[in-house]
Amino acid sequence: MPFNRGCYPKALAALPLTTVALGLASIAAGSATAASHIEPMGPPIQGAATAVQKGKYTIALSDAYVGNNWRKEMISGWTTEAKLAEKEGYIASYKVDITAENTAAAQIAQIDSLILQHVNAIDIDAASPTALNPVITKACDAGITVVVMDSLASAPCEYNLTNNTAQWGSDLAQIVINGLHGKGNIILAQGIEGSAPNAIAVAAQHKLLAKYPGIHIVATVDGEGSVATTQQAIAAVLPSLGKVNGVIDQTGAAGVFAAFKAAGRPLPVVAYTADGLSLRIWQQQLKADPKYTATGVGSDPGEGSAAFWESVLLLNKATFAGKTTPHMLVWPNLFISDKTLDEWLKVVPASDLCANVWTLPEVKNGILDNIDNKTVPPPPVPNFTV
Amino acid sequence: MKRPGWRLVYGRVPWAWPLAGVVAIILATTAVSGRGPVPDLQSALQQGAVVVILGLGQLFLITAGNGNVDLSMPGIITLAGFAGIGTAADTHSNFLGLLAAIGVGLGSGLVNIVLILVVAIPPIVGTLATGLLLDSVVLEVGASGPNTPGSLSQFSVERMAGIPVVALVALGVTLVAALVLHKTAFGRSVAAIGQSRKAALRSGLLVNSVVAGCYLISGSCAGVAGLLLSAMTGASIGIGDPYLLVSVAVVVLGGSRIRGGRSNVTGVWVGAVLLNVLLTLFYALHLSAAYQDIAEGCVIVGVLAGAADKLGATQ
Repeated sequence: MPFNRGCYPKALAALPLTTVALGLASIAAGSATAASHIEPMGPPIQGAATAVQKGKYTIALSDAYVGNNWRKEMISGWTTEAKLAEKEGYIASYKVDITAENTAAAQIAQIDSLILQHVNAIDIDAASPTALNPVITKACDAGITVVVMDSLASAPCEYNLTNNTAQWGSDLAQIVINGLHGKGNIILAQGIEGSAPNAIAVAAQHKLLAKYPGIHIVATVDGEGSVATTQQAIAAVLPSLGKVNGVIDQTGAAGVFAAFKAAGRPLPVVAYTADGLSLRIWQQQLKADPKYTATGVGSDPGEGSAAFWESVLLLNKATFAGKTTPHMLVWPNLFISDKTLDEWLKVVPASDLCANVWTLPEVKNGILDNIDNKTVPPPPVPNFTV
Repeated sequence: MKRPGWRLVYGRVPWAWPLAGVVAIILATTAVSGRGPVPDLQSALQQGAVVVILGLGQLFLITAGNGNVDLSMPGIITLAGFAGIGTAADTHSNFLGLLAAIGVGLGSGLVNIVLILVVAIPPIVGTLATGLLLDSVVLEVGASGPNTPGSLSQFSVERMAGIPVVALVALGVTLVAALVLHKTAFGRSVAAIGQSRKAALRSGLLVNSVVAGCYLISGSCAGVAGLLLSAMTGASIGIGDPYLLVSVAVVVLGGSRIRGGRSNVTGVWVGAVLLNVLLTLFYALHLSAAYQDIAEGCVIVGVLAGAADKLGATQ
């Protein structure tokens, strides 16, 4: 049964998805994922988690925004795993509850209604880092398990599962630095000016760049997390610059390469984003030069599927080597290497977003890794058949 | 600003001051960055071409006055990009791709016409609604985005004698627009409606048909611009978003009356190049995004203030 997973459009490599809370969360959980894992690792080791019982649970997904492909992929991943869990008897039923208003008020009403329906667990992508706290607390008091992913809230009783924004920012920079062997002139293209995730990512990039005296930032521009704006900004700054060897940006290569081509300059070293468009540009470079090497990184919409299984584990009161599930789980960003590029190209249409598929055993192992302060390894590239 | 000399210059060549601004900005950038003015101008023409085509579309509507403006442009750009690139990739014909992009523009124009002339929603709200509609369509079709054909992306960055080819395309569109606006009954009707809708109605002009024509033109322009932009960067969701304000700003910067009735085609070019060289100067000065927006706003307000007495004079 093939299903439509994919990528979201470049524009949000940045962050329409995350919020202030995510930043705080990343800092709090920093130690769990201190190490970068640009290379995908081998298959996960079987963990020492308790067995999951079949149960008569109802799990709901609450999302207040569907205005980009990231959310669409997140919902698709969650729903696919929920269907599977229903079929295999882990849950009795599931419910996807979506409003498109992107307001905290609409989501509060939505969660209130889910509490009245006596669901057993609610997975939330929060419209506000604070406004949902009272209703989340109310849900917990009613005995409902609450998992908040992606854009987090900050109620003490909630469980969180999210990507690490600071790590994502410094990975983008590390890829370019490695590509330049630590020497060269770079342009730093920032994301949405004034947004918390951008501030966290850029701070991490500056911290990393400070360790490389051979890298010179010759210009800083604002790409606003959009390919078109990045292209305009880079095109505008290039005439005032000498040689530029690399560009650190958050939207993949499309905008950067367009600006460099239009200016008749050799293409710079970039980090690709984990979306179909970026990967196809990467493929074109590879066709022109078989020795071309690159890395892609992106926020993983697959955390929807991971959050679903976390809810199932929480409802089962699963323990991991005797320990309970931590309230903050840091889930890995999505990496694409020279080795996995072809596999991803097969399953991701252009202008879709790559998304991992997290299964129950992988989520169990991921929780164990979080308990052990280890980086969670990525799952195998999905082949889109369940 | 009461000196007759200023009025004379502004009345005859309303883009003289913005042009002087372009020259001053390029000289300043050259001084700050220590690099020659040629790459600066080439870059401005490459980037400005798309903006010029959009501006020409808005020019028809703004000239027709009565609050006519097309805020659905970002949506048209994005959807036309997907349709144009997709068709070109599927049919291996860039010409069919262009037709598809223009088709999206015309279709969106029709929706605008229905909302504004039939349902009688004010243009600023009606076109915004159309834009939202187009964004939703893009989200649906965007999941299966197309690969840009190599010939099309090569075309978008090609140069002839140092001049970007996309700028030559924009030049062609400009010549057609100038002919239509200044040499045809339709173009003169547009200006007449902008000067006084009542007088135009009473002199027997088919006001609604002319305004409808303007929406079809602006939609087509946005379609062409969407294809060019997508050829440069690849079709992607949100690609048209940065172009809403600038498409109107270049018209006003170029000396056309914002309340309608008087158009200046050449001025659109000056406005587009001005905004682009300004951005380069800001980056050369290492201004942060917030200050860039403030400075850009000051320039637009400054030009409008300079033209204010002229605006009032013909009311």
